[in-house]
Amino acid sequence: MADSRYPEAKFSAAAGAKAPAIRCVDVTLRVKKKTVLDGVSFEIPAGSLAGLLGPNGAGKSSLMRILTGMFPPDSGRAELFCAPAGPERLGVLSFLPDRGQLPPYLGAGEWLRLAAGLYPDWSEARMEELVVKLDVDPAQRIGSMSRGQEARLQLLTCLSRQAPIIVLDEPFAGVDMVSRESIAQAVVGELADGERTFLIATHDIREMENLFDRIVLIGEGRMLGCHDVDQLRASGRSVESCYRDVFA
Amino acid sequence: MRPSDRMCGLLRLEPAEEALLRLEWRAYRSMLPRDAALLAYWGLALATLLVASLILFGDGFSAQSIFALGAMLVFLIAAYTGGGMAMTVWENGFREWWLGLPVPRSSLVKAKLIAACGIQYVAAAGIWLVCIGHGAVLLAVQDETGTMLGGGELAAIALAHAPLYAALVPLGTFAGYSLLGMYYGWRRWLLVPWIVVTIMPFGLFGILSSLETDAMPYLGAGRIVQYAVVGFLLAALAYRACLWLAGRYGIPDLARHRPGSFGFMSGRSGRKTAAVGNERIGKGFAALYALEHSRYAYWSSIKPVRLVFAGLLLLAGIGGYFGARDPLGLLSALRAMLVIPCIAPMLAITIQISHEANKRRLEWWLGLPYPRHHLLLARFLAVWAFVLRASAGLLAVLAAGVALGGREGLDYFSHGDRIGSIFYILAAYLLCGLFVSALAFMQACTLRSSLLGWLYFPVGFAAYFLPGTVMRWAVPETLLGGRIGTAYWIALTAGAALVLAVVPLSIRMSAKWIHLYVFNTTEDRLRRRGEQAFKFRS
Amino acid sequence: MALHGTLYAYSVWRVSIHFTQRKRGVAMPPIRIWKPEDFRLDPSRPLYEQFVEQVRAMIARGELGPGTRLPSVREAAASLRVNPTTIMKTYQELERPGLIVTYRGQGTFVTEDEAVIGISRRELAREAVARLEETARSIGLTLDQLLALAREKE
Repeated sequence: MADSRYPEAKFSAAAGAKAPAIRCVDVTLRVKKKTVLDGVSFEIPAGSLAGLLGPNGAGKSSLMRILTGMFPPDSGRAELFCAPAGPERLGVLSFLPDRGQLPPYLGAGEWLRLAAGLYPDWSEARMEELVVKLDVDPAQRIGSMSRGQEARLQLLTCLSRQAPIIVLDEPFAGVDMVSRESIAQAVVGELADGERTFLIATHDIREMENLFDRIVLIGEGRMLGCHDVDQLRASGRSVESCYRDVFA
Repeated sequence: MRPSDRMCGLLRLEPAEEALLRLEWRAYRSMLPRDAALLAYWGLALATLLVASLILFGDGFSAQSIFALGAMLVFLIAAYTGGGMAMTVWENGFREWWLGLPVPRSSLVKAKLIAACGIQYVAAAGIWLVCIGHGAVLLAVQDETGTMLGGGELAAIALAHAPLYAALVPLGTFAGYSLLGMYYGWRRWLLVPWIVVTIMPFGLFGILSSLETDAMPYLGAGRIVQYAVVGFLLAALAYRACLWLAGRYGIPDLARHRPGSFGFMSGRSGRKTAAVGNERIGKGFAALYALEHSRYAYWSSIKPVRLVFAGLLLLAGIGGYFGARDPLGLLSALRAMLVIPCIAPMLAITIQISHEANKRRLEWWLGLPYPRHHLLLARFLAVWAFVLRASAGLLAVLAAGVALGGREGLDYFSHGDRIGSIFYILAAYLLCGLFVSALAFMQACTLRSSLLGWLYFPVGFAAYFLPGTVMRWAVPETLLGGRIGTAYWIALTAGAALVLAVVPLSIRMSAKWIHLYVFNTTEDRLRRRGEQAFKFRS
Repeated sequence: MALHGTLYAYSVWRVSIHFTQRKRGVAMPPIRIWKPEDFRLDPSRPLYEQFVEQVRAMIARGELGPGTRLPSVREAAASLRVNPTTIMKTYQELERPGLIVTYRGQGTFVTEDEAVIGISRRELAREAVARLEETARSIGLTLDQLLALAREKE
């Protein structure tokens, strides 16, 4: 059904030679009688960087929480590499929650040492590289960090893992411009080998639009489009204009 | 100026203060029994409370004790809600708007205190009614053999308690809210008396439960009125103290505070870390445990906590030294104290999970690549390891105190039966604590539907009193001096089996539903409530 | 291709020596790191097309001299904050006419073959003229008439 409304979605299925990293089929979620997600279907091919766009309260965070297996959808399927998402799949997925916080009483270095033990796919080398790139001070206590500093530390935690799927929920919320740029840069650096798949929810379309190769638009829990960005541009539209067409 | 004038001056409200008070009161208004549905809920809640109190305190407690217990409850609820509110102010999103209001800061605090008292009075009235109900039932079913309780007597006690409750509400509220001024600097030392004052009533519980029916001249109607007068005076004192503390220190501290920073403002403390230490961190579950443990490692590394613990150790030593002359009394005091480590893990688990959901730390935790029951198990083990270590330290110092106290106590306790009974008491309380703290995990299931939530509420509430009440039967006074019978050992084994079954079960169940907390942050609940209210209006 | 083969063989045999040389800058051509300000991007046109156009222009006007080393796909994508596939496509497009050359293990370089650069410049000139002819037609003139008219003194 979604396919007939969104011809682009069909294109992706045909073009994706590899198995899709993320696939949602008719995902529906209700919280206390309120429908948060209503029949959301889309696919993200492996190795791509997809943007999940939509206004506040569109259900982006809920959709991401379903993908991370935080809770199951009421109906429909959410799949990672063709197997259903769930807490037992957390190993293939690295998640940055929206406005999430790390234990404030730990120092950044302490947290990273703990994280190295907590995540089986932790890469010490990558962490050391990112500590420099993202300018994180390991001696600083998390509770005394500014929002931008903590956001960078959280992203550092996400990217130091070798999980093939990375889901970032609002990585730029409340983050200053310089931090935003270094976060975007780090994300690109991780993408280059083509083996990791990113799904990023953000309001900061300007900062990210050159990065996305796909965008998924949802509003009020409904699927409002899934586009290949290059195709969009080939037809003379930008991500921003597409967003405006759908939501404004 | 006479003191009474000064008092009136303190309580008089400016127009701006009136508006402030309305604002604060608005937060509580939705809890009042304003319509039929809410009235029905209140009725139901009071009835449940009455039934619960009849079950828990049906025998062995006289009407006087029940009213005294009610008074304790009034104080505790007022103090802990007050303290809780004072703590949430620090992380409240409205905080900066609130501080930016163009009124004197004392007015801000005054409005909060008065509004909080208002809602506590409603709760106190409910508790008072429950106590009267309990007394009436006692009156109706008492048999001829026992000491008779007359209707007039009951009325006198009830009337005498009304002013006491009325005094305890502001006393508890103000005492609780005074936490507002104890976040930074030397004021943190005040946490010690604060904790002592708010934990003491739990000790009263033990005293009341072991009182004989006649031997309570201290709970006569006349005495109660005197207590009420003292209570009012103390409340006035607490009011002044609270306003002074909050106005002079609390609000300026609050204005400087950065949400979520836990007071790590200064550069020095911002860099020192002690939560993990330098030892190697293992992989997998060991790291998970290290993460959970780091919380307690941090808290026990900060100075005020160390000082409180050192004070407790000292007290335990002194208590042991002097208690050696009255071993039976010492044992019974120990039994009363054991309630605290029993409840602490449950409190810790409940608060941690909902606090982490509010701070959005829960999602990181649930996002760790481990089965949920491993996460919960690590948390369970960490809290118990911490509590057991602290308790073991205290017990060891207590034992050392007894040993130093003289031959008398040493001889008494070196008897095989005594060692048996001590072991029995400790084991029974440990099992009870494990059981209740496992119940705390069960709370996750109640988020599935509001019906389950309402059903669990009294159970969860009762669970806090479980160690104090049920344990009276499991560890009766007579057992302390005597030999533990086989029946008790069998019961203990059965209890252990039960706990061994309940703990994994509740962890499994909680693992299934814990994600519901993600939807149930205070923010989400308020948003939903707002939506509902909007629907009603439109 | 011959050059490619020799260099590849050379690198296989003498990797370490070669790398130390490069590090010291003996045989190392200058590297060009791009900044987002170096390009003007229109978000409603395919980005790689715009990169191709602008890099071709840079080569044509000598801003990117022959033999200049270009950043790797990963470096370029990170510093320009664009999707690496965009850079990959750009490089592919530029490699097709031989404007840039990638040596395995060495990196990507602007060609040293002046003939290729000459062809590219000629293509750019033809495209510009074609566009100008288009403009002239739209106002009813031939290209010569357009130029003459523009140069006419008052």
